[in-house]
Amino acid sequence: MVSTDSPVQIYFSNDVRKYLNHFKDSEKDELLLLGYKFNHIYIVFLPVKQIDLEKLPQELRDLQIIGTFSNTNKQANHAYDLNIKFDPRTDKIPKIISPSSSYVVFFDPPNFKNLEYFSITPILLESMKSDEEATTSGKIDYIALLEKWEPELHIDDNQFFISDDQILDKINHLYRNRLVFQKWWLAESGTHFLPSLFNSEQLNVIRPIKSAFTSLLIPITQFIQKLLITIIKIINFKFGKFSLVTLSKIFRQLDLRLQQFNYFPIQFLCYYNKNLLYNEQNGKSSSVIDRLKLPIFNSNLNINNSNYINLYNSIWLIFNDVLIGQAVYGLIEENFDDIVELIRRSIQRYLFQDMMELITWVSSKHPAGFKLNNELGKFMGDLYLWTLWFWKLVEENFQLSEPTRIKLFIKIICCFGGVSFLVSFLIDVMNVATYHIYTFYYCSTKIYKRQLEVIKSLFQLFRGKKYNVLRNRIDNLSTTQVNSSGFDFIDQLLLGTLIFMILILLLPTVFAFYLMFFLMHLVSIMTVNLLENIQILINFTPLFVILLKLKNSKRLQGGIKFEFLKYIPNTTYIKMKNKALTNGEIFTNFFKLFKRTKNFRNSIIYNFLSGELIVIKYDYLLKFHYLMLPDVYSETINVWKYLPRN
Amino acid sequence: MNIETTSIGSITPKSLSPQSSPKSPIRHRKYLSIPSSPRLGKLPPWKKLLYLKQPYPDNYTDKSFLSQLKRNTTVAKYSYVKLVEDFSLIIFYISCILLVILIFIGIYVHNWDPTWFTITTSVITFFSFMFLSNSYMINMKSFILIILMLFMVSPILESLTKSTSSDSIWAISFTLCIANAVFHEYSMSSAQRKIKPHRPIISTNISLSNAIVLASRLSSTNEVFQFVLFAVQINILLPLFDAKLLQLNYKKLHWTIVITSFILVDVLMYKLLNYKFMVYWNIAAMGLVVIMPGYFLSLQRYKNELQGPWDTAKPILNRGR
Repeated sequence: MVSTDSPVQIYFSNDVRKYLNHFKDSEKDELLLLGYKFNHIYIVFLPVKQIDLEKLPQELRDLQIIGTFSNTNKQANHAYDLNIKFDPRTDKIPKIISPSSSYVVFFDPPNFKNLEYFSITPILLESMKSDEEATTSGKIDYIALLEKWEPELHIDDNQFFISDDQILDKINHLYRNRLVFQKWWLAESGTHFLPSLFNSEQLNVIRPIKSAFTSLLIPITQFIQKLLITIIKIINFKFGKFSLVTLSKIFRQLDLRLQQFNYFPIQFLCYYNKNLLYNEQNGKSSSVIDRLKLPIFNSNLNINNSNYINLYNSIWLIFNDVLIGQAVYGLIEENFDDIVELIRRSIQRYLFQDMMELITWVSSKHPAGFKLNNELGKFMGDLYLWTLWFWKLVEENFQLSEPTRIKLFIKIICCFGGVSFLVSFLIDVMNVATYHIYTFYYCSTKIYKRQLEVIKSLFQLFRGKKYNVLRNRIDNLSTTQVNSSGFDFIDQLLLGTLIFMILILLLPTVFAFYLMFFLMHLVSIMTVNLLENIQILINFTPLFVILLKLKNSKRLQGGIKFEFLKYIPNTTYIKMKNKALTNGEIFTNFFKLFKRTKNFRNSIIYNFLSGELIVIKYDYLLKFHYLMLPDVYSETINVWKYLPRN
Repeated sequence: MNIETTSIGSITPKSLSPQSSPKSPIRHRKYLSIPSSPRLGKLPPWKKLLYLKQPYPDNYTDKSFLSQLKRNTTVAKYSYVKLVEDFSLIIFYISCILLVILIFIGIYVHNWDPTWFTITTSVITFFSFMFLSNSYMINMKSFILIILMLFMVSPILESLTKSTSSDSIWAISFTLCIANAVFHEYSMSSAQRKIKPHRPIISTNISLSNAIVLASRLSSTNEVFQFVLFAVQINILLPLFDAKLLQLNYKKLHWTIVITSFILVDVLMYKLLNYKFMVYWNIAAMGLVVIMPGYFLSLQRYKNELQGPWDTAKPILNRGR
């Protein structure tokens, strides 16, 4: 029995009309509606003449006769809930005779084979794990508090909504269940339900070819996966504090690429056989997810679809990468000698000669008119210059002595890895070449910072106060001194003031050196940042998603939207459509990637003024989470165990 | 019962009149004066006790209310002579500062040799330490420490501001001297000194900064060391010594030191600068010492501090005993 206060919703797929056309006119008068019923929500499945519900196969057990379907305005048959009048040739929309007030929702049945379906929550193509973690690991869980104190809404337990999983599930599987139904009908009654829609012969031919192919392919893939896993383990192996991955950018890129390859089989299998991913029998996600520790935060169908999309996106991007790499290598090969000469000259000039001039300028020649302390300036300038000469000697012995070997190396990485490996190689070269700038910057930052700290603490002394570490406050000096004769404190005070004045007056010189090296370091960091941006662009652009959106936006589920059609007394007609992911949603995570994987911009000015080091802070895990790669990559081999023998 | 008589906090003259009571005006108008209802006859005299139930209204003010009013009881009474003595301390400190500046002018402009200044003052300081306190060993130690520190640091000090132009140095020095005079502790009476001991920390630091900044203009390390040592002795140690003298009541010695320094400043001004400066200085000093106390005393008549039984009671603590 329908509860009287919740509205009746009838979900009516747009192709029911097509089914009706196959019935003869005489039969159309009295047809039964087969469908699903959930308390007050009805989903129309197919119109039938008569049917024996007991004999339906397992998957279709939920079907029941929900109403009658008539062509004329015959009086309602009170045995069933619904009574619909619909003449496909004359009426545009069906007329609901009973129940009295209802909502009719039209929709196009999603083609499940093409991975079209309706989803309330948008599909999650990339996961930014730090986002989700940040919101739930806050000190006070505001959401839990809100839920605790929120006034209770009176929701009838019996009331169903479209956001309930069962209803959406039935709607999504409409297409597939119809095929099953027709197969059963054929088996039962010997006639095709609808002749043109069903052909089963195809599968018989393809199947043996498939099984032969797969039995050959699986061991090969397993072997390749084992190899990949061992290589990844070697690269990531930590000796002391370092591993190959932390030392060089090329290895990091290699790590990313190999893990992508490693994960491809699973993505493919998950799409192909969805039982792998979530055990529908148990209702919860399968152990594959647990063992791999996939960063997934939405459920069921969405994972499947996102795996598919991510798989093909990755393949396409890697393919692009290699092609561009080969093109670039061709360019490099032509002008190799020129490039080498250019690099050599610019390193000589910018990194050494100009630096020497700059340092001499700052140390003794009143830079920009500022009067710095000459003694200190000269001393520090000599320090840096001597180190620079030494570094220059080292570089000269080291660099570009065998162009042919380098050429071969570049050829390998470009043609097999792609242009992203070339960019990583450039980043590595830059890091090594500007290492001396980094050490100078580090050194001058430490000096500046120490000086600033001492000045701050001595300034308290100057004022006659002292910082009490135990109480974390500033005390007056007179309360801390014990004596009463009045002369003992003089020597401490005088020493403190002496040092304070000296440091204050030497601060401009130190600051000048600090500023100079800071600017140099900033330039080199910004160049590295630019190269990393190019690398992200090559590795992570959601090209496939954009193209999919243009081609068939029903496959990018961003939610459902309802459109109002018309209102006839007692019935409201609404249309339900899939809302595709907007461009903003597609690119939001992509743009976040630029800022979050490498960050050096947090409060640059404050860090500069207080003497903190400014380096690029990397978040490497984010890239893996973005591609939805598993945390435990070695378990990917075990996925073959779960594959049911087909 | 009139609650206002026992309220906490001082009352300004305005609120003494009953008209400014915060009670409701209607009720207030009824009880403006002493109720002499003929029915009751004569009322018993009003007593200032809360625990008695008296037939007077709550906001009743007795005649005897203002009898306990005291005026200007906590105001200190100054005598002219004492004020002159205390104001002379200011002149003394300013003359110490001026001494340092004048000697610097002598060394820098007229190329005087600072050696014999320094030796004289060091010897005097040495003897004054021995004279002053019993535990002179400790003070000797700190004095020698000061000398050694300055000696170590003077090469750095010499080249500290070499490249800065002289004008900025004079400007810095001027500001520091003004700040020095402003922040010094000119403590007046020995009673106050027991509460807060005489430790002029900020002015000590500023005097030393001033000495360093000036000394960095000098050309040789020796000169730098000697000048800074001299400045520390005159500007820091001498006022401290003087304060100790006052504490121990050696009045005559104190006055000789004050007058000697004043005369020295006069002489040096005359020799190094124009005589006009000397005249200005004398006039200013006389004005400060003679006229200012008189002005200060004449302003005392504006003090109007009221006290009465409505103020918070000050507990008398039995010390020791």
